[in-house]
Amino acid sequence: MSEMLGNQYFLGRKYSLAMAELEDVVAQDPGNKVAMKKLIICYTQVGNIDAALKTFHNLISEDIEFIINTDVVSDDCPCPELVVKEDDHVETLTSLKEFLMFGILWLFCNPEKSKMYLEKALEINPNLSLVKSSISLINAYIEKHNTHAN
Amino acid sequence: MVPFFLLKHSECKDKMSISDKFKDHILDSIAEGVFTVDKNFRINFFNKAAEKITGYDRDEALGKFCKHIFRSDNCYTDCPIALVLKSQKNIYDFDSKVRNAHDCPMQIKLNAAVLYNEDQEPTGGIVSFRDMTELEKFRESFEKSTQFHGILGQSKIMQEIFELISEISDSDAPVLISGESGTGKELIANAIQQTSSRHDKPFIKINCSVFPQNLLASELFGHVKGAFTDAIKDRVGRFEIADGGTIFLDEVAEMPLQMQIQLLRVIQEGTFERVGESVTKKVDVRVIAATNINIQKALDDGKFREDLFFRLSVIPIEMPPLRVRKNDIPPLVKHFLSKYSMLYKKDITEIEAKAIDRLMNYDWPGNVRELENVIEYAFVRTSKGSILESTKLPSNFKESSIEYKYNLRAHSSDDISERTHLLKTLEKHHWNKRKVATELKIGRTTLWRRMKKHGLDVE
Repeated sequence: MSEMLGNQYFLGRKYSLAMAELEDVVAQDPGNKVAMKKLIICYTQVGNIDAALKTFHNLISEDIEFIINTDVVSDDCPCPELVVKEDDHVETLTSLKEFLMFGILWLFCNPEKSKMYLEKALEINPNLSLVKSSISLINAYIEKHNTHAN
Repeated sequence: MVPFFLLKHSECKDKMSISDKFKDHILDSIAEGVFTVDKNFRINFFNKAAEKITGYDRDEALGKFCKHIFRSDNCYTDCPIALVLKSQKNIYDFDSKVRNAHDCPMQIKLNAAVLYNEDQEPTGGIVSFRDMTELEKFRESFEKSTQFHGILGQSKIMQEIFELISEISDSDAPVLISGESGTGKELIANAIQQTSSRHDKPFIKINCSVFPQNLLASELFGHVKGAFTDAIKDRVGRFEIADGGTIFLDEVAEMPLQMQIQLLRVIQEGTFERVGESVTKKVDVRVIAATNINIQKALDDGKFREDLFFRLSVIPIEMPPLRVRKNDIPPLVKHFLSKYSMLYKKDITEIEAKAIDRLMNYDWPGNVRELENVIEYAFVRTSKGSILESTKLPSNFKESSIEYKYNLRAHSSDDISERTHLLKTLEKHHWNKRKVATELKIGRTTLWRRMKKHGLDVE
């Protein structure tokens, strides 16, 4: 297990390899938010949406700004290149998995869009408690942010 | 590779600032580019040579991810530091292509190591690198300019060897390359492998003379744990690694007789057992062997098995010594001058006529390797001008040429004059006999006769 090796795999966009390393890191150090943030993205890219949602919810419950304040350039966040695919065919998205994935990924760039996709996921399955809770946390952030802005 | 002071930071915390300045000063003074990264692969040190090679200022590079500075495909495939992390072994002379600040591709060779904290957790990495772009260009132009896979040889005898290698490219038959030391047997083996249908398969080389019998068996066929005292774990042998490809057995005639029997079996049946194991393994390996000893004498003395010899020498190739292909000397010298001009950053492109005369009249017992050493020696000693002078040739080499001087004295002054003129004309036309005969207004037969008379009958 090596966080450094996990970091390199993540930089090299080898998500499944990065996931294996970072899972060990988070298991040994559950407070490692940097590793958790990367792990969330890895889970979405290997199709493990349940694990992504669970880790995502854990992290935003503790520190939502840690995801929202991601600097795409200086943090080498891959989300823009991952969500850009969606812009062209947003109307064709139909599956719960897709809505959850984009809901999670968009929080790294745009809380409003993240909320929109999570709400669409909830329309398909209204019983997703983690999604409901995540939307509440995002709403709270947006309200707080708007209050400060006003 | 990794400076000790980088690895032992924690042991001198109270002297950290002094240590850091000392470290920076040393790393800035070396010609190799050096950078270090933290565990997130952000650059946290970038020496002056790295600035010069990449074109990035230190301030531009610091804090950036190394992949954004170097933009190598290896960042996404085989990051050298990741390889070290996985293997726990430092990497040396790793070839990589990167891009410089002007977005131009560069060929570099790098060494990489991982930095650890007191708990032996990886905390960063260090990479040193050097620009190989110019050398790579030279290598490419050399390969294009030579007739055959990086081997220089315009003599008829070498051309015939090149032709033979092309002819056997579809064959998997064993090849036995014989020839004196320094004649380029390994280059020929490389060319055979590169032109064969197995060119993209493993190519394993082993020098049979450097291992004692028990270790050679282990090297070639592998061993199982407990097979002998030092066999602490299973080991795969070279034949298994080469499966599907080619193995080059250098100095094959130095192999102990017992091993020769085992080798014969692999060649005949493709089967062998690992040392300490009774399970028979089967491989498909093409064998290229080489030897620099007198095979006939080795056969007569019973040191080399006749059956193995016949099995190996399905395609025999005899590398000629340099003394019988002396017209290859001028282009070889030219090549070595270009090579060392590049390596030593000197512009020495010519060689004095007297020097080439000496080179042409030496017997070269060490063959092309010796010629290269002589040129490098003289090259290093030449500090002024663009011409390599005969006075810069090694003293022992000059002594060896005394015989040549005596030979000259034994001839009349007219002979010497004729010989010198002939040699200069041959040089001028790069040993093209047709052009030389035309300039001297003599027939090619007469030219050949004169060359023979003066010991210049190189074919």
